[in-house]
Amino acid sequence: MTQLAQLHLDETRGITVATVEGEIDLSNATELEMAISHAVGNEAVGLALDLARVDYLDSSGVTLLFNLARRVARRQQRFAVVVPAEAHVAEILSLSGATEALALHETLDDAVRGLST
Amino acid sequence: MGNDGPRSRWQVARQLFVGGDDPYAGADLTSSRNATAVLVALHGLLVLILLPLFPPTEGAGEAVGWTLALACVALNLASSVWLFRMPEVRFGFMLAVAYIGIAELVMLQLLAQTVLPYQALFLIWVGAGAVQPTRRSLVLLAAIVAATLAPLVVGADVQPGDVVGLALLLAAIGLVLIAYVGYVRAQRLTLQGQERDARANAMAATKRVRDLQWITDAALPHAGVEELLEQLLSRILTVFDADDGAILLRAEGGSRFELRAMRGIEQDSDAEFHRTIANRFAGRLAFSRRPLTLTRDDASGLVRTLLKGSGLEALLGLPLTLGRELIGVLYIGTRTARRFSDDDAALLQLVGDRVALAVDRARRVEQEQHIAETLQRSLLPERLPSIPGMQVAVRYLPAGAGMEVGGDWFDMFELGDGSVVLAMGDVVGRGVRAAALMGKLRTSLEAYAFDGRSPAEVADRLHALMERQHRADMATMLYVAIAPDRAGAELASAGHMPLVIRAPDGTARLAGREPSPPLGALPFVRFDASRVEIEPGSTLILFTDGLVEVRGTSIEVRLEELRRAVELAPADPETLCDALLIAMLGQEETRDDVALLALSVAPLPPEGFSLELPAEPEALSSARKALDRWLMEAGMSRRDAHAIKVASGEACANAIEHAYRPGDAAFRIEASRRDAEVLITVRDFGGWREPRGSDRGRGLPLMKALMDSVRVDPSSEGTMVQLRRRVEEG
Repeated sequence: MTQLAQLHLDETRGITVATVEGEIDLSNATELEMAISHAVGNEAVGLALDLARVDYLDSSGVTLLFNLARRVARRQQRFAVVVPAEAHVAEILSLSGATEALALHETLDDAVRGLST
Repeated sequence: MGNDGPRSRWQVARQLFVGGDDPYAGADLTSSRNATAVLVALHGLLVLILLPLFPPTEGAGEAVGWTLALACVALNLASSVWLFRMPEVRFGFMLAVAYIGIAELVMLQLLAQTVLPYQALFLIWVGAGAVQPTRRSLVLLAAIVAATLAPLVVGADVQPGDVVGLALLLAAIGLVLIAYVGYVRAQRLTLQGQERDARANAMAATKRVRDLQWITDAALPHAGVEELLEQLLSRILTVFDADDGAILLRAEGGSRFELRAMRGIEQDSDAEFHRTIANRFAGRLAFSRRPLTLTRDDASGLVRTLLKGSGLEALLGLPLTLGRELIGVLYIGTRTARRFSDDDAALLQLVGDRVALAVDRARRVEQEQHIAETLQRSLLPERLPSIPGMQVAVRYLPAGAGMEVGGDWFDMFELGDGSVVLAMGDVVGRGVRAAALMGKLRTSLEAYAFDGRSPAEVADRLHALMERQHRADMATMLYVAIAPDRAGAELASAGHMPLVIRAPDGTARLAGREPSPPLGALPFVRFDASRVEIEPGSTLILFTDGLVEVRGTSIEVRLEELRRAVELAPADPETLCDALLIAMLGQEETRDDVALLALSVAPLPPEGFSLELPAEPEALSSARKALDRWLMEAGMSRRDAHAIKVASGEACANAIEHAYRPGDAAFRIEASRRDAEVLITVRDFGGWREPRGSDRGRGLPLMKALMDSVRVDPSSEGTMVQLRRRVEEG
């Protein structure tokens, strides 16, 4: 099938960086959630999820964010999401109430800095 | 043979004296004729010499005596001449002549009233009798001795001593001759018998070889196992002149026997019968590894009952083995009382060996064919994607029965940028190998395409792949990438058949007529791509050579025929495919695989569109792409377009979740615009469910936040969601 989204995983200063590119919907949200959550090691300080290059995200994508936040928190790790304010995704997140509940950052550097302090 | 009934007294007498079997049957009878003629002539001449010395004047007067005696001599000489002229004379005839001679001599004795000189002539007929079968010779000898002794009985004036002595002498000579001839004859008969047996054996051996060959001729190279077994069994029954028979094979990896071929016995009720017999037999056969016979009298218990019930008298069965493995059981049966001979068993053993080999081979062939077919089927797309504004139909005809699968393949997918790729190819060769390579090419092609490669680059990479890993193989391929705006396509052809484009007005043209060489054909090839325009409403037709190649007709002629057939056919892809298959292939069974794909490209009207999709999460992206394209074409702002897309996506996701079962359910999305308002309607055909948990609970608020109005109408037939949003005038 058409690969809707691609996931790149990286690590800097004990922080797992997950970059998603493409679209997130019902067909791939659960899969992505599993892949990202497995990528976060126990020794990691936190998880930075970069959605800057996500063109489409629906409510299942929002659910993905909340679930990841919950999983990471349970392991005493920190969670940051990168979404530029002008991105379409930002609007969806704010309409879903994710803006208040999650730590949103403009850039990945901001997010990593926020997590390591 | 001893098959005659009781014989009449007359028949016995005839047998004894003249008739009956001829021990020299088949011998050259002219020698018998000559010997008889000489003996008769000799008899006549000797009588003629004796007549003056012992005149026949005493018994019945001079005149009568001479007349009778001379008549006898004349008759002898005349019959001698007559005998010489006959083509052949049976030995029995000689015996008759001997009796007449003896009678003649007795008469001459009476006429001459003397005994000795004429009695000496009996010696001639002793010799003639000796060559007859012993029993008849003895009767003749007894007649001669009686005739010799007759004067004593009738009280003639003779010396009794002389007569008795002569009789004893004749008897002795006769017995010696009979014994000698009998001995010689017995020896000859033994030799003849041996010769006959040898000839019969040679003929039987020849027949056996011929039968064997005839039976196993049935092992046709392409026959499937079932057909092969049926044929073998029917031939075996013919050769062995048997009424019933069955071949049972062991299920692969199991101990149960499966009835695979059966003849005779009423078909419906008796699979169980055959299995019982086979299992009963199999144990013994497997143990002995030799043919076994079973007659109704030998059988006991259940088998006896079964044999009785079926009317079978005798069975001859044997195990079918391959090396040490028992693969099945073969047996034949008769309904008439008959014992199968050792020869039958030996021949059946030979047949069995060949049957086992043939079955093994046919199984392997079938297995390979099955593997190749399964592989091919699993390598071809199960379902082509439904892309808004496109209708696709595909036909795949495997080559005729008995042929291995080929390497024809096709594919269709939509890339992330909205362009649609059609691909078709043909791997040169057949069987598992071709099928496997075809799967590899298809997968690689898709990977390269999703990697953002252009058609020419995809072809280059596939060619490089073949050069690296499949130097001995060759494949053709046609790659068509329809641009996101659907107004044109880029195509690369590696030695493949051209693309047919049917314009909306019905005219058809061929594109991609100058292909690069096939993949893997030549080193250092770079593939070119060409561009074609596609008017909205056109249909693209891709096919493999099986559709057009006909021995004896040039490909150009056939391509023109195809082009014309496309112009005559209706535009709808499904009916177009059917029409082309009928026009190009008729009713004939295809010699090569045929793949045919037709895709119609419809424009999306600006006032709106409607699309039905399967209720699967994967369909969401299709719906989004259609909507995206339409929204762009309708000139919406990016902000509006995004909001409508997300809201519609949520509605579609709900519809998918409402579907009772995945797979066979569908949902419909309709988009329309009136002035500054866009209306999206999403219908499903399942029951409305309250959002489950917090997950889907986010969908409805999101829709409400993004759109000006959201209306949900649940009903028993399904749920309809209507979304409205005022858009900026663009």
